[in-house]
Amino acid sequence: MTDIKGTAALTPDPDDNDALREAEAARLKAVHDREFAEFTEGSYHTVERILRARCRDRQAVEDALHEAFLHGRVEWSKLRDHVRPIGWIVRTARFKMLKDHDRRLREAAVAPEDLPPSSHSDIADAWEAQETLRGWLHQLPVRHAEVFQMSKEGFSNQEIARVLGLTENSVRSYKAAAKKELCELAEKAGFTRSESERRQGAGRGSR
Amino acid sequence: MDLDDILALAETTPSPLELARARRVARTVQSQHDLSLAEGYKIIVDTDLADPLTWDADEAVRVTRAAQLAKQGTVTWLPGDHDSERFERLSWSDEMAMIVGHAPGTLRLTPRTLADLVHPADVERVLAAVRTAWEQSRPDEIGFRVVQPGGSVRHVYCHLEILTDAGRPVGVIATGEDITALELARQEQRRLAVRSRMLGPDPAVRDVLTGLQTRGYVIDEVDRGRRTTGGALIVVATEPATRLPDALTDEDRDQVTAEIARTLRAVVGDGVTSGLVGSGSWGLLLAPRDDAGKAEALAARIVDKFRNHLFSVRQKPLRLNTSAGVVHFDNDIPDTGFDLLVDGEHAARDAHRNATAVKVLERPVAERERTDRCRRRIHRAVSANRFALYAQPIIDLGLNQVARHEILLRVRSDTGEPVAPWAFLDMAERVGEILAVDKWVIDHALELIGRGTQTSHYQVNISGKSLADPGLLAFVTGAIHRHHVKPECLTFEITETALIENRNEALAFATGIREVGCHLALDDFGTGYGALAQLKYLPVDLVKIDGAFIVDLCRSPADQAVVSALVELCHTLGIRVAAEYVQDQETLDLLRAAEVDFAQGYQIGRPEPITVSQEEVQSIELELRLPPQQTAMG
Repeated sequence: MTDIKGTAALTPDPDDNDALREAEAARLKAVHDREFAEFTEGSYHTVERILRARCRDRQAVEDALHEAFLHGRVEWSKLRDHVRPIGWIVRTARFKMLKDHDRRLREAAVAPEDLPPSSHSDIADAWEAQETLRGWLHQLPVRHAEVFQMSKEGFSNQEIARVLGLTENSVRSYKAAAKKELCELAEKAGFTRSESERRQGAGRGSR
Repeated sequence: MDLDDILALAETTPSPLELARARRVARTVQSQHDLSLAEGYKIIVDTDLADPLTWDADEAVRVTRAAQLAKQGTVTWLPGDHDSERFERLSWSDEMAMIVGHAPGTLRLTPRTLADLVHPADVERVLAAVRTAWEQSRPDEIGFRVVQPGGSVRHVYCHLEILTDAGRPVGVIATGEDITALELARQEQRRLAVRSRMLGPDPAVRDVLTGLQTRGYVIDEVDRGRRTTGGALIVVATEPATRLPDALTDEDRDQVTAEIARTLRAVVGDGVTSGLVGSGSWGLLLAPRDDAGKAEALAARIVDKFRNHLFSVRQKPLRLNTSAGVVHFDNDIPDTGFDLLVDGEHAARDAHRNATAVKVLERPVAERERTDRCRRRIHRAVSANRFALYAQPIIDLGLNQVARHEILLRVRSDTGEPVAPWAFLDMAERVGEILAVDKWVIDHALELIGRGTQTSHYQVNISGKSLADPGLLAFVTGAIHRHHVKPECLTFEITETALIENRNEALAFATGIREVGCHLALDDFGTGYGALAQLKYLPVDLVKIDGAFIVDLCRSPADQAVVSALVELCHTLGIRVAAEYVQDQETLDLLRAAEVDFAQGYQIGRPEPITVSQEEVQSIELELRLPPQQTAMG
């Protein structure tokens, strides 16, 4: 609303113009609002799962996510042009957590050094499966857990490397290592498929 | 069910809960955003807005940038390639320079300077890790220390990653951060874990044999009572009504003691502070003070129960003569817990003498009267030879054979029964009459040794308190000559249940006794007043580790640590080490592995009445016939 001194006289109806612009801005905002709401609903759980693979502290994850999504909304006009805006959100939320040095220290100081393998009980639903998996991921080196979870959420090696700031060689390596470590943890907790069960087709309740 | 099944199950569309969370976040974020627009303030976004997925920088730049955002530093090494025009390049980010304590841009980086920054003890490990990562083209991580220019040491943790260009490895990038605070927190956590694992229960609280509290604990509790609420102390004296057969072993006696303790517990329950406070002497504390006669009633009940109960030893019935003393005391009295215990014991004796069940003292006895009575008891015991000497074998762990004996004192009870002397000795030390007892022991022990073949080595106890007496050295040397004992066959064990009273006299005795040719040992080392400083200035030849460190040795890593460290220390100082209270073969093996020199305990042999030679067993009767003028009343 600044540069209208000289042209104001020429313009037939400056108020009209402003109103037009405002209407346009409002329309754009409504579009962005809707887009962003859709984006958030479609991506929040993915980002949450990825961050929770690296961090035990659920509150810290939610705080970082909240801030990242807020910043994402503020800059949505630019983010909406990204290939996958979720990459930026993951990256932003993750760095927020990394920077919170004090909290990381506290967490490391109280983290149990050796967690016993989580007690074996039948895993009946998705929630139990996720919780069990998360318990194991927390026993892995942070980078391995993160890379593994991202690949589970459908990111390619190159995407993971770029979002997390790793080399692609590392991503391949971490992924393989994570898989191996998870297998060991699962076996330790009693989740193996014995030959007899395979034949009987019994899918669970092994030990 | 295996990992793949779990993974498959976990991989689902968002749950209703997750969706609700997402919607809530979307709503809050939207309203915050709207609010900022409406009120005209700006939400600052500090992250760069480039799409990370399309940002087309090379790997080194991307990793460095990511590290920067996470406040981490990087070192990039590109070895170059002889065939092309690329040269070896080594660079670091400003953050990394600061981590190792240099201002950015002040240090010319070469592999050499970089290696110099790492703590000398860690350099090899770091170089090997980098080399392996590069050769195997595989990422790695490593923690190490760096030394900053001022000399301070920081802990750094680095991720090593392989940089590739068109699928070909071209270099290594290390992302690192200062984790000193974290490392210290971890170390502290580990230390605390070790500490809690090593921390044993307080051994002074419960006695293994009786399941009741120990003498020291009861005395402390009585002492607490006289400082706070006042109360009543009951002392129950028990004594076999008939003389026990001589063939009875210590184990049989222990069984009787345990049975009495069980009976006592059954009468009073576990809530009352109670314990064995002397041989055949049981103490119970009732607090706070209460004049309703509760203590008297309880004492009478216990006496009644004990008198009517048929105990057994070796399947033979055994009756106990029982009497009790009760001492009432107010708070804020000058008499200590020990004083009150002595009063209780005396009251119980009086009751026994008067053939009554319970004697009650409405208040503690006058200090003077009490001390006099204790002294009289000790003098009477010494002049009437109411002691017996026992010998317990000590094994030389290097030779695996019995090479020594410790001479042990037994005090005779009123029926002539030899009992463990600890309560008696404690009393003698506290009223300052231990010297007379020590002299009796020295004189009689040396006499018995002199009569024998003197093929073994004998260890005789002297209280730390007695060392204050200037005449002791002359007395000992006199006894050695009088009884023709080879001085090199003697070790004097200084027991340190009481403080060494006079350092100068103690040192004079220690030096003098070694000039005579005898050896010097510190007994009960590690629990009494024996300080490490004594190992420095007292010419000690042997240290006997207190049994408290030995009884649980197999199960206690803390005890093992103490024993092995003590052995190392003593051997460094030229001192040999003995362990007492060895009760099983496993402990013996551990002691041998720890290079302890001597061991003593029930596993090796129990104390036996002294034998002068292989054939002739010195009986108690023989000792009783010793004429009084040979005693050591000085």
